Amino acid sequence: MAEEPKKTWQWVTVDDYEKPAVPTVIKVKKWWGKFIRWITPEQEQESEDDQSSALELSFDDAADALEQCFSEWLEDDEDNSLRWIIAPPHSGVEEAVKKWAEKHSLREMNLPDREPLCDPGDSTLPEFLSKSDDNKPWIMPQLAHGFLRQTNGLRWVREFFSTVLSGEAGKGVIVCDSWAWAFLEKVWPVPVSQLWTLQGLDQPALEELGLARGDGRLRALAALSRGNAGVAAAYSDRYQRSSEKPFETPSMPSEINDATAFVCYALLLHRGLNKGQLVKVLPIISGSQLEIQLQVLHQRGLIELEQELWYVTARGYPVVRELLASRGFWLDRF
Amino acid sequence: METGSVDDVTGLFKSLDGFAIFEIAVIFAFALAIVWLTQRVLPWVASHLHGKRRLYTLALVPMIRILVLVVALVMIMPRIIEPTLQNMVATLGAAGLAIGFALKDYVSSLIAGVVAIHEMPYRPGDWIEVDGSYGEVTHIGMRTVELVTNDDTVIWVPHLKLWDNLIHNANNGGPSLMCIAEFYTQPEADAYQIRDALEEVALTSPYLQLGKPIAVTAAEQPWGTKYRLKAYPIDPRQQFQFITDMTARGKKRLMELDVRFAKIESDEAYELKH
Repeated sequence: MAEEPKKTWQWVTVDDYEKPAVPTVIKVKKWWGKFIRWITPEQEQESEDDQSSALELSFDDAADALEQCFSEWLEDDEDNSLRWIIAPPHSGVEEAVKKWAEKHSLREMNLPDREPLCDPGDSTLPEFLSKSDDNKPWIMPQLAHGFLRQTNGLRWVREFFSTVLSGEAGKGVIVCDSWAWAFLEKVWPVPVSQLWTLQGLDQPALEELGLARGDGRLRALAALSRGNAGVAAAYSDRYQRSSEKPFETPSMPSEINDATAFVCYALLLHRGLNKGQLVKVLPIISGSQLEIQLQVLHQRGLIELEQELWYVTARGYPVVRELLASRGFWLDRF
Repeated sequence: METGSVDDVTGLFKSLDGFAIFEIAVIFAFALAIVWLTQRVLPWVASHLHGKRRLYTLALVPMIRILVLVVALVMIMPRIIEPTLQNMVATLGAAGLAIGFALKDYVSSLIAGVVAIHEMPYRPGDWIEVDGSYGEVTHIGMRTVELVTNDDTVIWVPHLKLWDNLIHNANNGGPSLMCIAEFYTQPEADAYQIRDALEEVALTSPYLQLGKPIAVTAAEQPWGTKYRLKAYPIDPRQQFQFITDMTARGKKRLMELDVRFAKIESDEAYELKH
């Protein structure tokens, strides 16, 4: 019997997640590029960050795939278990789950305001779900927005784990950023089952989505994006899908210090922060130094400001991840 | 008899013609060039790396140097001395006598340097304490080890210290180095509340190596309770900043919890009060 062809959008448990293989040629090219950057004096230049020709992805098919995956569990009234969905930055997981949740009108769990979350005087924590007799399944849209890595900032998320894992909150789906999850596994080290994510996009999947053409281009895009749909889309070019030209990634500032890495890590860990929250999370860095780091990273196209929150950009994500890996930070699994 | 002895000694050495001297000079220069290059290139490469990769790269410097020097010596010796057993014994005996009297400490340091490379009580990148001096090993020379303290003072410690001194190595060739922030409170404070608060302080520090454990210990003292918050930074070079961060935020958190800190009054102040 012929093997069933692999689907482009496939939901898998986190343990079954596979990153596309990185060919040795690409690894060597990467090391060589780094070496050249070391020995040649870097010219300070602002990021071009031209994404006008990048393709936009629709995650409708991913939402449909989730429907097939979770329909049995959702319809089973006896089954009160939880489903955890881990969302790497820009991977499209959040968008797909949101579409699926809207279709089923799941109750959205309340997230606390981040500002008073760290206030030591404020002992009351917001309730997770509005008082209602409705026993419909609920969804936590982004657990990474429920905490700040600050002395008082983990109270709500601890309460959350305690409530939902005890079964008090009933049946629900929790979406959590992959970086936040890596950290929260240390905060609440109770192993959970049913941890899901979108399978990494390999070369055939990237080709099917029209993000690149030709073996060389596909291999390079798969390696650069590590199978992350949003990153692959950000580097796609509708006019040069078969081009053999190497991908131009934003470069890190020439003067990198602990503050640069801390800012990048904090933005990934919290899935976006505003300046005030960054000050709370990184009190060891002075306000002016934080401002400088934000401006420098922004100029390089590594971070962007969206609705008052700073985020790591899709094009900057591979570069930032590599920086954090080289400096020994605690990384996500993807 | 005398003539025979002189002949014996001169017979040890080969007659060095111009070509042999040229060969020795080339070997010597080549060995020095390799050592010089590795001592500059590898630390430069290491300065761009972090964690284990940085430490392993730095550790290559003394290894390569000793290898190159041994190879050079093996290549030079047969060009100077007729390599027979009798000649080697006579040469080494004479050298041993000279060293024993005149250059004992110097040679002892050199030998300790070789032992240090083999036993690795310290490697470049390690944080060690010798004779009360604490700093990062930045260079392992033939005779001395170079430490740089937190105050940016360079200390050269002879390898000789290895024979009869305690060497405290805080990270022992790895990227994990335990840091301890200490807090002193009055004895009435709730120890478990303080433990939980301090653990939270370490967990939320941006310097924390998340894969390593956090621990808080308490010990009763005559003037109050001493708490020690133990955790690991991501990079050993961040240790002082990490302790500063834990201390600053730990104090703030304990003050929020209305914990009163222990204070020891000076004798003068005590006498004034009573």
